[in-house]
Amino acid sequence: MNFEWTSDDLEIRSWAKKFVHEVIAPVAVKHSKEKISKELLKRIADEGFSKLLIPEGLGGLGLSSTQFSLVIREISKICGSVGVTIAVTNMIAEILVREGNQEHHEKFLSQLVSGESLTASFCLTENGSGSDAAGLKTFAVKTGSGYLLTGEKIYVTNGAFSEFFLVMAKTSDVPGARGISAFLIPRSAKGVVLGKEEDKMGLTGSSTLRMTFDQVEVHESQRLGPEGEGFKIAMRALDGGRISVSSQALGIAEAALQAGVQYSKEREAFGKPIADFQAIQWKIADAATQLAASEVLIAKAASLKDQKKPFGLDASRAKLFSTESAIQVCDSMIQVFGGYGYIKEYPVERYYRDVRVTSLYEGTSEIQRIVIARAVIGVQS
Amino acid sequence: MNWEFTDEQSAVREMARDFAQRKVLPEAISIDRESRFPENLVKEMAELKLLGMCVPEEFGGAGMDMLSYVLALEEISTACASTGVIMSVQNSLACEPLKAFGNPAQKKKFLEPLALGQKLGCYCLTEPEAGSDAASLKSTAVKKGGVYILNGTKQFITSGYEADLAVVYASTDISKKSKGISAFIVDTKSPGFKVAKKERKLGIRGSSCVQIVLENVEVPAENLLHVEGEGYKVALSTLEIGRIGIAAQSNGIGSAALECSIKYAKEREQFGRPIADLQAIQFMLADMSVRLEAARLLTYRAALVKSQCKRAALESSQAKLFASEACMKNAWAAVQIHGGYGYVEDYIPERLFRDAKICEIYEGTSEVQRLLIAKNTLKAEIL
Repeated sequence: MNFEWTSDDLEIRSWAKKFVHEVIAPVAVKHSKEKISKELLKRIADEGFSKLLIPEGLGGLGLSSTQFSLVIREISKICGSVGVTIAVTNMIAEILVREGNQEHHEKFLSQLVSGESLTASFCLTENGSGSDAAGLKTFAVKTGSGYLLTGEKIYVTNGAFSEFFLVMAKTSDVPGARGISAFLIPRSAKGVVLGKEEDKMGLTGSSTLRMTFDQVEVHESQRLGPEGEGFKIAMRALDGGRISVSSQALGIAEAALQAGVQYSKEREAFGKPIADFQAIQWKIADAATQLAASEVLIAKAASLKDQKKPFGLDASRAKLFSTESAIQVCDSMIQVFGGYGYIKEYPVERYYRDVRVTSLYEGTSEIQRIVIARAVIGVQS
Repeated sequence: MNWEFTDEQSAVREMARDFAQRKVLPEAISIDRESRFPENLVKEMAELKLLGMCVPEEFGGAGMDMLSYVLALEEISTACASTGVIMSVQNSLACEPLKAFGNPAQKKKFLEPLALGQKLGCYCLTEPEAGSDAASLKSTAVKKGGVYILNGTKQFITSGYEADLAVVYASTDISKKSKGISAFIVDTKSPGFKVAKKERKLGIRGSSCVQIVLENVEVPAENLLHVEGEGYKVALSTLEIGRIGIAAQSNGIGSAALECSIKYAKEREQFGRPIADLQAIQFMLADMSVRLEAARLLTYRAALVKSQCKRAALESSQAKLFASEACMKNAWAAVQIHGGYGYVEDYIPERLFRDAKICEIYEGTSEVQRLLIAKNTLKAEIL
């Protein structure tokens, strides 16, 4: 057993850190008010951040999950909005690599390699189906050469930026997960309607759209994997996605702790820096310990994934712990800042808003607890 | 990164688990109820080389790495926390300072019998008025010719009732505070070395906890451990290993809490189905499992860092703080899941709950760990 990163891992991290500090840091604060600009997305894609998990043979950077986790962490330290944007794009890329055939790679994956599509999106959640994702209603009716797909999706991350979407829809009346298939649909397809941009609490620079699919013609070749296998594809992707959300949460919370440490050494009260008070020291110590625990849980899940070993339980543990800890840490660092923590001029206000969603998306904390409980109890409950 | 144990680590864990489940577990209830020191089990642990695990073979030890020790200690503590702490004190607090700071003659004379389990050791740092503020200890050591004469009172000494050897901290110059402290290897049969009181405790009742009074105890000058005035360094370095040991003990108790809760939740039926089917119970089990896993990983990491480097102050404090608090929370949850049965001594959680509490106190309270972690994180002298 060893807990050390390789020199390759550290090199990748430095590369990400440098780019993030030079290019993203100057505009991070702006993302509390406006969406990430197309220009920035283009620079991010040009630097290779949309193809982190695509193997070199297919034109990508071929990072391991461990390295990917480090990159997402570095980006999220500076800007959670950019962090989630890149994380989701890479998750779709990874699905395409794993589940797609050559045609899928040439038609869709290549758009991420070339930068033709700046991001990619996943359409799973609907108005009436969140945690119970298999309860989705979007339907793809079989036609001669393919399907006509109709339905409404919500919470489509990157919706405004992506040139194509991975859409989950029912292809049979079989209830639950077994009737669901996955489709790749270009933004330009007739019947694809981009809806309302959600007005969110945090991650305000990222795009979160509602979408309508109105009798969209989908050729059979646009189906990813066999009919009825869509839900499995989605679930496999979410296991990896959980590592990436954990890394995002850890990155944001690390930034919050760093801000809290710095502020507590500068700010004076009762004649000395507030860092001299145990009330503040305790918050710093608890935050540092929670982040250390998050780091090892995430590192274990990512490394098991790299070794092609089962990692679902570890990813759920990492996600549950690191997101809930990160939320606590960001909250407690606002407390360190006092009133200033509540003001947008100081960074912790944004961290707090940005981090809150991490225990919701990619499977709520409640879903993670169900997954973990099933595994430890050893029965389907 | 790599999450596999070596073959040796897996084998040691397997051996310790087998011994713990077959021999230790059946005695755990009586050890607790009778406040009985498990002399027979300590003897068997000596034969299994569990009492000097990280001591080189040339000095009678098992010559293993610290992670193997952590894995074995967790297994023993899963069965019986009292037996666990006895093992922890012998390895972390008696053998380790002698291994790290002893000269060859001291190692031969004192470390070897400890590692072989022929002698039992204890660690005398705490005093009635010096707990978290250990550097304020008042015991004195005065050099006279070829001996040091020790006087003072030592408090909460684990295994102190049975110990043959003690590592005793005393000051050769009180005015120098921590820089006046020295460490001595003391034969507990020396005239003036007296067990003044045996404490009756909430938990870990099988391990003795005593007050020791030192009255003009003569210690040969060659029993000075390390350098005069450098004793506090010995103490701090030793405590890092001690903390890793207590983290492992915590993980053992926490894991016992989870295991008995899973079993009970699947058997116990209410509202027409096993309570394991209810989300209220499932969520408690999920949280217990996550805490235990995080605690284990932090403990393993601390053990690896301590093996590779000389110091692992931050890692061992984080592991100890997190693991001991996770253990207490898991013991709490185990009682809650067992309901009324969790409160009675016929069921395991009642003992686990009592045993768990000490982990947040000894080898540096949670508060001391937070101080050290904050100091490290702030990278400033704030203590």
